[in-house]
Amino acid sequence: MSIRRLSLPTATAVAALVAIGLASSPALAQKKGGTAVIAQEAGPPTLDMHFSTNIAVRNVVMQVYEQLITRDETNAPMMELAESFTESADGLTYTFKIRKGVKFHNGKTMSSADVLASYQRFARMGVQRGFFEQVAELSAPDADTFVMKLKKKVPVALEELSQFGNPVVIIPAEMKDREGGKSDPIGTGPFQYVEWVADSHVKLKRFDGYVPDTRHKGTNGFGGHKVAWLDELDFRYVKEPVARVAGMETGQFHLTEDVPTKAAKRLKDNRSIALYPVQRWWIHGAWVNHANPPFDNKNIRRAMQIGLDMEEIMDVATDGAFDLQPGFQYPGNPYYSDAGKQFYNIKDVKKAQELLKSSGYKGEEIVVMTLPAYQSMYDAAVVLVEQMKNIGFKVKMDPVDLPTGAARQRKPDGGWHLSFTGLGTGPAVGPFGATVLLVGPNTLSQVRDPVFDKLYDEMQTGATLNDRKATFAKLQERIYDEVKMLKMGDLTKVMAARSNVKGFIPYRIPRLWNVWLE
Amino acid sequence: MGRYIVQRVLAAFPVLLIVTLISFCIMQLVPGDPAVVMAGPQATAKEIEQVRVQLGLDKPFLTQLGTWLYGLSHGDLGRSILLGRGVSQAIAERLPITLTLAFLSFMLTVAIGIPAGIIAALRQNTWIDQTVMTVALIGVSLPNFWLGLMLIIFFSVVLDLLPAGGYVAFSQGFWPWFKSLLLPSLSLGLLQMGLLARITRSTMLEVLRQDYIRTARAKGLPMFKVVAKHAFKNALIPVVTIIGIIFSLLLTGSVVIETVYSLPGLGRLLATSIFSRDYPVIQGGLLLTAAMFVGINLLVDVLYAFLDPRVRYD
Repeated sequence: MSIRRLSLPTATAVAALVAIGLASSPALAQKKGGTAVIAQEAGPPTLDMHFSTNIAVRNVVMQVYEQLITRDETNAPMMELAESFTESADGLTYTFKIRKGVKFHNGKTMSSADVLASYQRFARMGVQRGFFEQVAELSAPDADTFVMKLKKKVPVALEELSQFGNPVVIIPAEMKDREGGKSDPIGTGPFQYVEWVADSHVKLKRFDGYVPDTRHKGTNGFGGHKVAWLDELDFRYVKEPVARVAGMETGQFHLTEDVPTKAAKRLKDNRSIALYPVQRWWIHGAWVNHANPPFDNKNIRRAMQIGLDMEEIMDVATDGAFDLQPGFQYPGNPYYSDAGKQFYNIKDVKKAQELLKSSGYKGEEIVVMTLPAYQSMYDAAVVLVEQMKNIGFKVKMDPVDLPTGAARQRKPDGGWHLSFTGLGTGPAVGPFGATVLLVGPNTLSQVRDPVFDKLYDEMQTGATLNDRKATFAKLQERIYDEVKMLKMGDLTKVMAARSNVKGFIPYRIPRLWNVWLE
Repeated sequence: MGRYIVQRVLAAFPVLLIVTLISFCIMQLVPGDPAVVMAGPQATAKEIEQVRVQLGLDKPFLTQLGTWLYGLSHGDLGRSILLGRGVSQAIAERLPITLTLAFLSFMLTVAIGIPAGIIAALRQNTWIDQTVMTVALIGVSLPNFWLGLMLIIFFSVVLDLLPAGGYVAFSQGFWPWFKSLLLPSLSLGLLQMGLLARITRSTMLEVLRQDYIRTARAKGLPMFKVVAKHAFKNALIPVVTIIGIIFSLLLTGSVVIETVYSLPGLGRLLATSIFSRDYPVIQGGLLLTAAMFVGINLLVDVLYAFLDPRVRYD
């Protein structure tokens, strides 16, 4: 039985049901104590959440920090440290009331001054601070009130403030002037910082002064009613997948965020380990460089697009753990659209060969840049290269490490035509995250597209969800029509926990609150 | 001898300076920088540029090089971009683990490699010789990361005898500490054991054919004495040379093994720093590695004089 058949119908929906079930189930007796050892594929390069979009950072520090508003289990904005909020009639002023009695890990009671300082710091140095260019003023008129005034109406303001790609976490006001990477890891979350050895581990412990959000019954997205049952969390950086799996089998680790599919098939019969396949973890794809001939010719790009067999690519890359669908949002998401499906997974090699012949292709070498650090990307590139050769392209594969790939793919003359990527957080955050890398002068398709930019602006200012959804569909259609990116499929990620780990619900980070050891 | 050592130490400075300059230039030529890693793969170009400015990576190459060299001349290796601490401190925290690992591997290598080589030489062309050399050849041929993974599967998963990875400090008990280092030491040492066994065998064979060995045996000296006192001592010079190289290789081999076994040593620090382009740490780590190579070579040269009285450096 393949992992795909084992997977949950949709991770979020089931997770929500489980969350509600756990909250109300008397059969499961939570127990305080113990240390959970979590094996992570990569170590965090910083613990300053304002200063990184790196998932390894988020996995760890979102146990420590909280946001004013965050995302719930269905990815909709929800209040966390905000008690309530109001939006003025003109849509320009947001007034937030702050929850009372919330403590920082240093013992200080959080006030609106801390929220103000956090937002001001983020607006100054946050990695994804673009939204704050539209903020006219931030203020804290009294200890419980935080006010944000906008220059113009932004209908998606709450979505922007609650985004978790680079979350605006609330830190003590004393950290306001700290430069990026220099803030002390002090938050209001259920776990507090103990120790960080950058290339080895991060240790956290239960914050006994944590004030849970009693408006909820249990785990809900990044928020909800959080209880730290575990005494300690020990995040260990274990790069080698075999070592992560071996550690899970021997009980050395309690939880790991990524089990290779082949190992997952073996582990499914292991009663000591529970597998948590999370469908649609990221979009497997490759950016297409329009600035590098012959890919400046749309017909040549189209020939590649219609000749590829995405099912074969994804099958080899993920060993069966994937879904095929054309969307840059996932089915069930409010913005989901299948626009552009006429160009997705066509696998018409004959037609592609004919188009390539008539399009003036002169046998120029196509460079496919891929990241061997991600086995699935490397394997996908191997199949893609062969398929392109079959269409008639002359192709060279160029495996590079992550910083090299990230640096080169941002340059039109970076010596590449296709650059492999995994869009994980972007599409999960929403339609803006899914498309932002193709917007403006720094578009990863390398040639600015005024039509695309205009549509993106329209989506930001769309008054209703339906307006924005319609615009997103046009954006997605344009990605396919212009062949800005090759979407291959949605990858299923398999998380695993020892069977004595109870209460664990898979999500975009390993949530260790409301989790206990038996 | 003292003068020779001082001369060698002084000669090491230009070598280290050249290593520093070359590695600095190479790292500047390699695409990507810490801003990309810090910002994350899904950050836009504008967002990465903002991080780059905050990290001071937008400064000209010569300014960065000048800053590094000025600090170095004052004994300051700089601050790690990603670790949030001084490079010297980061290295000092991790070096003991790497040295311990290298030392344990070295002990295993010498304790097994040399006797195996001697036995193979004494039993040349017998099944013992062929078995030892076959095992040595396998040891030399196996990539140590693959061997490491196989050892993890066998000793950790199948037998459940040793941990699959991670480091336990000595302060938490001798056995847990030893167990956490045993598989990494074996993985690291097996390759070198094969190398040492093969070198010892060929050197011993050469010495055993010498006239003075034949004379010693004709005098009726016991075989053990002939081997230990006459043959092995004279075979030692090439063996000591290779041992010096082996210790250096064990230190650099830790980059792979520490990554496989998740050991927070200097090797993994270097590997992590290279993949995250943490330039000051890479510079500091390479400088230290080069200094260790120079130091070990000097030590080997000095040992020659003790082993062979004919060797004089004055």
